[in-house]
Amino acid sequence: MSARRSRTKQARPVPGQAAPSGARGLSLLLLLTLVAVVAAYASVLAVKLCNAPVLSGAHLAPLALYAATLLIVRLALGATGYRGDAGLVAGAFLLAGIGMVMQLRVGAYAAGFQELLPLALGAGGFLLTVILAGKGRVRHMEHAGWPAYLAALGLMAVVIAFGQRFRGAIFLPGNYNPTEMAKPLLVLFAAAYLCRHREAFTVTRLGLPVPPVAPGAGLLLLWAAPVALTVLLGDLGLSLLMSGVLVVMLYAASRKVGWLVVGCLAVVGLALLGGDLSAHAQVRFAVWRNPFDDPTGRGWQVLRALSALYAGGLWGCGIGAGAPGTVPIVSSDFIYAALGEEIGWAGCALLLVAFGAFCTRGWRAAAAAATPFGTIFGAGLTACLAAQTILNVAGVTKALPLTGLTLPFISHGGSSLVTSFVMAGLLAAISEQEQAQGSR
Amino acid sequence: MSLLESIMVELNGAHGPAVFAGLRQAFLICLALAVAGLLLAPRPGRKQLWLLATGLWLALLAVLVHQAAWQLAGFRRPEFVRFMRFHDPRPDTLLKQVRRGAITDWRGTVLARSDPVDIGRRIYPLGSAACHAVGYFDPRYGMAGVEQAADATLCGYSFASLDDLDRFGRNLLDHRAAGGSDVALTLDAELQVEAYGLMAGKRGAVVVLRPSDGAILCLASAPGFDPANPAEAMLDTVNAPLLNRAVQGLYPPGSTFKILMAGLAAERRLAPQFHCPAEGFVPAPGCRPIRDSEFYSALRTGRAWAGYGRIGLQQGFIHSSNVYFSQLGEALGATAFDELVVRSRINTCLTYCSGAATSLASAPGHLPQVGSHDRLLLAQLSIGQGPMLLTPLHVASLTAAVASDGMLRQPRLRVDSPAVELGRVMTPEAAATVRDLMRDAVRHGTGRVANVPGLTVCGKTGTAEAPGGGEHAWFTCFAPARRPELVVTVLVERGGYGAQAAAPIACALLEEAVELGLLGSDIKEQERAE
Repeated sequence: MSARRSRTKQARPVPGQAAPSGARGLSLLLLLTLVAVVAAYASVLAVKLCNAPVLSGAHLAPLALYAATLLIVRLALGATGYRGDAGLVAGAFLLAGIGMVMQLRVGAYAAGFQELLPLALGAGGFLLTVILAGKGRVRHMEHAGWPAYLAALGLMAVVIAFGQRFRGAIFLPGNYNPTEMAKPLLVLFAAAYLCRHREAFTVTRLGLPVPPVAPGAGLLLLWAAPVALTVLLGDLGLSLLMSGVLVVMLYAASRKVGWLVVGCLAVVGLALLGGDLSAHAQVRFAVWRNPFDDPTGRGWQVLRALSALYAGGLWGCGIGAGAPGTVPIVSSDFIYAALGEEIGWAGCALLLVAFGAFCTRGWRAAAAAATPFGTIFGAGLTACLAAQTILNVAGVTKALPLTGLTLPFISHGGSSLVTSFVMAGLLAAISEQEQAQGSR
Repeated sequence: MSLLESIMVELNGAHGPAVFAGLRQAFLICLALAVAGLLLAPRPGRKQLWLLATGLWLALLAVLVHQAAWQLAGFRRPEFVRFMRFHDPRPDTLLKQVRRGAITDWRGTVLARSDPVDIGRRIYPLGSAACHAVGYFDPRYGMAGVEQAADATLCGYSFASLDDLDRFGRNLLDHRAAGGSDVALTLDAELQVEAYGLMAGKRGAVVVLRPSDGAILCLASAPGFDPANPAEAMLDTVNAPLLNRAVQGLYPPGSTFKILMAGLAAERRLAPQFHCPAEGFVPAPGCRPIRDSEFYSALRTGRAWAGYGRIGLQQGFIHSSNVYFSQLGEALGATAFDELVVRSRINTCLTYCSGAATSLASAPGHLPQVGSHDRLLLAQLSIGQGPMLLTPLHVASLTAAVASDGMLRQPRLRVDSPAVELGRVMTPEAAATVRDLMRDAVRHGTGRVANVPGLTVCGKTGTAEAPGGGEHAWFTCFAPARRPELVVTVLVERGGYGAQAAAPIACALLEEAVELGLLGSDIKEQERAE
């Protein structure tokens, strides 16, 4: 039914046109993205030139790499005949481009060219994912649920076994964090599982979902293992995020709003419970309630972040002109504070609208996917990026307690960037799956 | 010179700021275009999961609103501003904070203003003279007094008018220090300085009210403190200089309470005669007798004193006879007394400066309900002793009620706050009777010291016994007798006799008020009356 409806819709483009309007749209969107990123980059360079008349290769390498990446992506997608949503591609690269400029601005690329590797890897991963999973091939991932589950558990176990404790959580040496990769793996597993049992989850009584006994208990037990591991990792934010994502996927699988309501209540309850039990989380709740209790201790970071936002005001002080170095861990968890200072509230609003537009496109693509698996998988991936964005931004602005989650595409951290790109690539592939089906 | 060097010179030159502003705007415009592209580009797919997208957009909106509350309106949070003052290394953050408005007296004399350079610092031209009424604004120690109550207006975010909104909006766009409005108080700076000077070396309070509308012309408390440096005063636990004794200090009113008792008697058209011997009055068997102060001073000097004999209300009032008034209280009864307490609002606070977030109010007085069986309590309360406590502001307000035909008005410190009538304490006829009694007390009685030539002062002394030391000296008065224009209430902690310690201060203030033109001298009227 869904396939037929989309066929009638997609039959409209002129037959015989090799590259449908989507491709020209992609060129335009990527061009707009490049212009915005170059404008941001110029601002950073101007501040640098204001201080010293030196423009070395290191100053230009990130932009050169980024522009080259955009060109390669455009050519490669054109060559492979990408027919998916151009907005998903441009959105991912717009966010990553702003992230690249902000990382340059806070000095992340000072150590050398190897710092640029995550950007190259991420873009490569994105392209590879779109090409490999595109044209409807993403449906084969339905069978990879169990390997993905085991891989996710294995990744977390490896980190627990070999990692070192840093800022309340565990990382591998070099603060490389492979648990980021566990996010799409767990989403893949949940999508495969829910797809198989989706009929069982659609039963409702008086609007409330009635969980099926066997699949429900199975899912609960299977989900408990990664949650337990994240607790061991000291990464309560991750378990909160993944539980929220699971709720969205249950809704996408069953289309029962009851799951969304009950699930959200359960997640909030879990968050409160976790906040009560864990000393680490207790501190974060206390800081959230009143950072002025201990302004130079526990409240320091978030108050410094809010001071940076205040210094930015409505229009910001210009990229490169602020003093984001005053915020602790500004390059990763608190990059949003640096953005708030330099692009202002107006710029932040535009950035969040970009995130919102990206995620809306992700869900639209998921809703129109050819297979139920694609729908559930796409909804989960989008939910993962959306929830991470909200939790990070709300934490920095003190709207919610800090969760220690990174801002997708923008925060420093190779694993985070690569993972975000892979997830965006999967979404682009899902959007293409629909189109490919439609124009067959 | 290479290209890069010339760019550097250009950027650091006169055009630099414009270039950076241009780059900033260019980026925001380019970003807006790119985001618009993302929003408007053809969107394949379906809307079936619209609920999720709607939820996300709402969450993003909520975060942005919350962010704006800090990023754009963070100056509304005093704790946040304090944090930034002490811990934010950005040099220009201060300039983005609020330039508080000034606090002035009714003539426009500045009582508090912001330093033009360091806009977070406050300057108090009167020093400690008006410290309690005006309060302080300190980045470390917070706010007090009018600085606290009128904070919304001073910061310009009370949004009382469209002008406020307009200014707030422009401050947001310019990202400059938001400018607040000025606040005018009913205080008179010169009278305030004079009153504070008269209280030098003493502990106590002075309140000057205009009875016709409750305006506070002077609200002094001693000892004072330096409002620019309240920290020092916080450490002084002996004198407690931060305590505003005029509104927060609770004292037994002593004989000043006889004003209300006389009013109660006059209202009931009672002027009984009582026998007032030196031995005093025993309200109930086994009680210590209530005696007059004359008895004790005679005892100290070794004179013989026979008592006042059989006297009426007028003699009892002008001599402030405890023996007379304790018997009067018994004659009036507990029910009438309790009703008087309710009418005088003794157990409630008087709000004298209302603000958006906090209001300034006097401490509620303390007076227990009198049971009809407790004759000792009634006798003690009738002379302003026993378990009864009042603030100087309350005593002044009750005196002002007598001066304005029995109507109790809410005291007011801000010029823009309306005059509010709280209720009648006594009938106009009773108030007229009490005015005559108070005039007699100043002409012939305990308040003779205050009989300023050229002014028809009406007053009542008070010498209140208090546990833990000497008596508190009270004097509360108004002038002129026919058309009262000012009420002056003076309390000197542990000052001894009201007539000796407090009345001269009230006198000096009345004379100062005449000089300042706040009080018309009425020699003719006095001549006509006497």
